[in-house]
Amino acid sequence: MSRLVIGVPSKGRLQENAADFFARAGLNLTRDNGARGYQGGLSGVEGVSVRYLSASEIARELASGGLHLGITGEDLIRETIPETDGVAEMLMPLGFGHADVVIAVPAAWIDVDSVADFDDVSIAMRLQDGRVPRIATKYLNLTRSFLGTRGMADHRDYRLIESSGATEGAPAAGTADLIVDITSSGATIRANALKVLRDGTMLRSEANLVAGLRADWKQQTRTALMDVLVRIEAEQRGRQNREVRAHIPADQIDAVKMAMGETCLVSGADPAELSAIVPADDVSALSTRLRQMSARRISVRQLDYVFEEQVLLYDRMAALLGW
Amino acid sequence: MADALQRLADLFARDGFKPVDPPILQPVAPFLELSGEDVRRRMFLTSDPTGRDYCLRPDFTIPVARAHHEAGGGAGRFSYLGPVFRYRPDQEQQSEFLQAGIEWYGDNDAAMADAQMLTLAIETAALAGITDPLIRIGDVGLVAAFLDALDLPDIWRRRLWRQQGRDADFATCLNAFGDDQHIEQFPALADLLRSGDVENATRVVEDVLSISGVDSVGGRAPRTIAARFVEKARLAAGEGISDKTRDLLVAFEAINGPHDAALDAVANLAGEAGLDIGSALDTCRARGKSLRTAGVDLTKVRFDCRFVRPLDYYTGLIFDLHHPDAPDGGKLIGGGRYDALIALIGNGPSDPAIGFSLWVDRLFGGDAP
Repeated sequence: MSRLVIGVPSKGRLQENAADFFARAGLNLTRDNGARGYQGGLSGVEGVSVRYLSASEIARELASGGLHLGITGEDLIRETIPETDGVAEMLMPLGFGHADVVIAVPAAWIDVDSVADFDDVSIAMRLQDGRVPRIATKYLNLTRSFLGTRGMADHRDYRLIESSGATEGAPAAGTADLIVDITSSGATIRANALKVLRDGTMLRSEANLVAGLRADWKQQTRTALMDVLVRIEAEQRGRQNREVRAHIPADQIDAVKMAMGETCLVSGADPAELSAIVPADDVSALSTRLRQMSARRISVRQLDYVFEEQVLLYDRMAALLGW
Repeated sequence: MADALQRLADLFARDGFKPVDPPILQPVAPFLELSGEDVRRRMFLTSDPTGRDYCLRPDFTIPVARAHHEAGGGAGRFSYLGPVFRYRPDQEQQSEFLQAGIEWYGDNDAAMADAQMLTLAIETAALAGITDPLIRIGDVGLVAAFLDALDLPDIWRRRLWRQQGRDADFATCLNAFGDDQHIEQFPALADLLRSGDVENATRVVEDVLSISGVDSVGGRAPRTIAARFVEKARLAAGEGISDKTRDLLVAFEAINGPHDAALDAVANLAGEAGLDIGSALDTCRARGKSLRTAGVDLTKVRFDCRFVRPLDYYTGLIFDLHHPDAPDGGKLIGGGRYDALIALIGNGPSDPAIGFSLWVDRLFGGDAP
């Protein structure tokens, strides 16, 4: 495996968003054999193969060393890889694919509002009916871990009924008493006469760029990784920063340099021209201060890319894997 | 060691305990349902080709009880000696180690049987040269009787009972479940529920649920939901735990001292508060009397009201024996009364059941503290 293998969701909004994410960084996803192909590439860098898989498969392949990088949901990573140390590293949240993993009970359980209520109902059910509540879910590990922090144990206080699809229908069908499932708007949960517990949000998930630490990281794959990460980081920095320019009167040059620190460039004499790259969130405050220092023609530009010498994500990988 | 184990076998045989050897490979479900967190976390699991899950037995109590139940149950005295399996990652202790012990079913004279078992445990320690073990006992039945006598709302009764298994004391539990704001969202309904009697209030809520088309969603009948909803409404109104009750719970838990003095303290506490815990306390006193008759020095026995086991099947006496030089070191022998065990294993009626187990290597292995 001397090519860098990247797992990308094969269909749906995740796939579209993943394509946009790469495209913004100047890398274009290609797909062999049309929209149904399982293989493809990334134009703009050498030595990269793309595999189109389901989000769950991507998580599994990252765990088993079959992928160097993958785009998948945090929920699936945490479920498939409860202990990520040495197995996978979540490099970057991607700002799409937002969904919460929640505990939802029948809306008819008007007396149950919190996880503590559910705990109490579990005890009462065991005393009264000699059984414990059944939870339908595909998130076996996440559920055990979350309820474990609330003092509840699998088999003793509840039972897990593995459900790979249509989990929300289980209580109505009688195959479970409540569910743990992923939801974005909550509409499907409400439509099935269920409600989310007040403190029952187990995980706020979004899509992440994830590195597989068990893959074969030969030298060529590290080079390809650097090429990919350079562009991704440059796009991210570009997106998160703005270029600010302004004309500074000569007598304010020192004051401005003091206020802004080393990162700004001031050239020319009177007026001097200031140029700086600052985080987008700081622009308002900065322009106020500049105006107070008599700056004129303050302009703000969006940036496509900002390339720096250090590629932080690459450094992180190198540190983790001892390159 | 072999010599010591022979003497142990002779001792158990002398009192009529027959050696049994249940399978090492056990179905996993009873342990998952009944064992404490510590055991569950450390089990070695496996499965057969058809997918049935098994474990390597982490203890003997459940395997012996299963075998006894399958053989028809009833009265019986059994002893055991063999390896059990619990994952221990530190090098000092191995994951496979020897346990020995006894199981005694079907004896209806609880106080007498408890005392005889405890005496046998003390004799077992003496076999290992420990003539003055630290003996700590508690009684789960006494705790239950105290909670019952306080006539707490069901929600609180369950919470406090459950906290035993979670290694938190009553005070922590009382503070943790502070303000439940849920019912505040329905002030008009809450007021209505509080103004009448519980039975009427429950029927009102049950009717409303039925009107809205709720049948038996998620395995809870409208009646059950209504009853708990009404109870929450009343708790929110302050019908929860009074300061007086809180003080009684904290005082009860604090009682920990020489056997007779501790029981007297419990009796005084209950007496002053007008709580009827008579029969549970009588059992404790009768057991004390039997122990004294058997020659046990009760001034050396600690009775600790906070001493509980994180297991649902214990129903009465629990005890630990420690080396006198290592009170906080690993226990040498531990046991108690678990009348609920047979019922939980067999899904049938309960049967008196007591027993203890000993850590063979700690007692006889020469790695004394």
